[in-house]
Parts: sequence; C-alpha cells; structure tokens
Amino acid sequence: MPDTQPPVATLIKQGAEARVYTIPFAGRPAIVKERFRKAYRHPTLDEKLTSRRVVQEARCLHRIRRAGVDTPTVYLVDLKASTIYMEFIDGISVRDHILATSPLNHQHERELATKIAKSLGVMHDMDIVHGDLTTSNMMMRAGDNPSLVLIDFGLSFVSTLVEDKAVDLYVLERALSSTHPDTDSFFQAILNAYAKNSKGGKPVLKKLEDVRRRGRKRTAFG
Amino acid sequence: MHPIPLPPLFAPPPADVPLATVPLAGDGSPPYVMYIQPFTDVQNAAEVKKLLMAGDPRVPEMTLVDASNILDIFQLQLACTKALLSQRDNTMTTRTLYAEILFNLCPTNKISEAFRKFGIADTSTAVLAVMVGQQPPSAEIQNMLATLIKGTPVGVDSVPGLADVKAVNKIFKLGSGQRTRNETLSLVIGTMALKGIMS
Repeated sequence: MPDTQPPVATLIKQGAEARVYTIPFAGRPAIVKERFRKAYRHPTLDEKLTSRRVVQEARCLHRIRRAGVDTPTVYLVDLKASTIYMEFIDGISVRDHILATSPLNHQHERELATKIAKSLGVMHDMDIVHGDLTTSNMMMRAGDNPSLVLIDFGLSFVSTLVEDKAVDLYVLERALSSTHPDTDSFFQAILNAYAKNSKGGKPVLKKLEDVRRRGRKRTAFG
Repeated sequence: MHPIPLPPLFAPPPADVPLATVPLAGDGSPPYVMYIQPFTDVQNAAEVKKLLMAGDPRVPEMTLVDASNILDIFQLQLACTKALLSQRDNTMTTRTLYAEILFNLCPTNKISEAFRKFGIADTSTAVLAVMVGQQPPSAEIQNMLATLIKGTPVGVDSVPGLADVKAVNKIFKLGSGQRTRNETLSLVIGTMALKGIMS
C-alpha cells in the first residue's frame, strides 16, 4: 500500500524532563514521550538516570493498569531512545471538564469525586505514589459514563510509607485549590470516598492532617 | 501474503531544536513490513513443525504462530517491532529474528515456553505464517508456503475469530474478571511492552 505522506510526530507538550508527541502507531493514534538528555549532567549518569526513570514510569503505568485503574496502555519502550509509546487517550482533562461545567452540581461532583477516589485508593493500595496529582493529570475518556484515566507517571514511585501517600493527596489538595478556587467541598468529597474505598485509607488521611500543618516537605532539622 | 505495515519508530530530535513536528523513521531505506498469511483447517501441523524444527529447505524462513493465542494482529506487529528493535540494539535473547518474534509474544522469559505456547503445535488447526522484510516475499517463497501447509488460506480479518480468549487470559495471568475483549487486548499489549523491564 503506497504511503501518501511520510508519518510525522507532532509535539504537543514540552516539559522540563520530557517532550510528548502524538504519532500514528500501527493504525492507532498514540503518543510518544521522550525524556531528553540533560547537557549539564555527566553523560554516564544522565543515561542511567534517564533510563531508570523511563522504566519506572512504564512499570507504574502498567502495574496499576493491571490492578484495574484506567491508564494509557504502554505499547513499546525504547530504552535506547528513552521513549515510551503509549495509547492516546481520547477525552478531556478533569481540569478542563471542571472549568467547562463550573459550577458542578452536587450529584455530579459526588460522582466525579468517587471515581477519582477509587482510582487513587487502588493505586495507593498497590503502594504506588503518583507524585504529581493534579486535575491536569487526570482525564475522562470520551463517551457516556467516561472512566477516569490517570496519566503522567513521570514522577511516580513505589512506596509503602503512609507519609508518601499523604503527601500525594496533599499535592492534589493544593493543586485543586489553586486551579479551582471554590471547590473545597469537592476535595472533601474525594477524601470521604477515599476513606471508604481504599484499604489503607484511614492512616493516610490521618497523616494528611500532619502534612497540612507543616507542608509537603518534612522539616530538615533534627 | 498480506502486507501489514510496522509502526515507524520515533527518533528523538536534539534537545535544543524546538521542532513542532518530526518525521518518523526517515533513514532512506525501505521500512520493514510484516507479511502474514493465516491458515485454517490445517491438517499437517505435526509434520510442518517437524520440518520447521529440522531446518528443512522446503520451509521458508518465517515464524509459524498458533492462532489461538493471538487476539489481534497488533500483538504480532508489536512482537515484530520489538524484535527489530532488539536486533538494532544487539539485545536479542534468541538467535534469530523469527525466534525473537515468538519470544516477544510470550509474557515469560523462557524461550522454550514461548515456542510451546505461541509456536505451531502438533495439534494446531489454525496457524499464522509471519514473515518480516523490506521486500515482499517472492512468488517462489509463497509457493513453498502454499505447498507446505495443508490448510485453507484466509484473510487477515479472520485472525480475531481464531483466538481463544480463555487461553489468553490464562497465559497472561489476567484472572477471570469480567472485561471487554479490547480491555483484555490492552492488558496483553501492556504486558508484552513491559516484558524484560518489569521486575
């Protein structure tokens, strides 16, 4: 079959650590996330760090996908090029969704909060900490009764510590209050559902109180 | 045989070039294409397998895959792409590209297990012949294939219908929870992608 045009990758996002492109991949829309070289790091160290992070991200994505949380399917990992090929999610970010439908009605807010809490609960029960929970890193698939998709596991890691999970929620709380100022009740609804839906939820919520008092970083003294 | 294009790979641009678009796989050489021919009602699987394993000259170079564990062509495309990638990087686990394809289809790291579960078996009745190349297989090779396998050649569309979803669930240890076929395929694809870097 003759190609009409050479396929191209289109840059859709550039961050400090990686660039994200959309590409055609075996007839499916896909995205490729490339972690680029850091010129200021020693080349050997750079290679090690980059490849470890690529692997870590792909693993976390796949592990919680297997546990039943919706995440983009990993298609291919090219360690040499530090790239991950994954499913392109057709949908909108929760951030845009909230901004577009603001103010949320009570019923809808509760449903959305429950979906988010369930995903976070399963993820934390698997001892995976997302590391960058914001409403931009959550998406809703297009269609009726859209499932909630967690994306961007670039900062995720495995941890059994209640502290890390509490900080994860704290990051979300701060992100929510800065992007969506009048949604205190929304975060509270997420916490309530989280307590109900995750096995290790109670201690995490208790720890969250501590984290709120002192901020994300633990004190460096003593 | 039916040509199935393999996904072109992404070559990262230098970090200081702020390109909005990057052409994929533009190294001048013709891209690799997977050629596949499914057969149903295969009567001589045991014989074919024996010839294949003996490296008989009547058998063209290819992978013969048992169709029951293939939910979608996508699985084969990925296995081929990964094999070509390992060939490029000199990180192949097996000795040949065609063995590597079978190996990539299987979730575990045992080569013999991959052959047993995904390769043609004595009892196979539906078989997929898979070749990879930059040129389509010659008429001679296609004739060899047609005389070798006593079965009905069918279209690529029939591949999903030849799969045994239960067997796939078992091989990939996906449990028996209710899920759609697409969801199962996603889990299979993800598991294949993470093979070798999961633990």
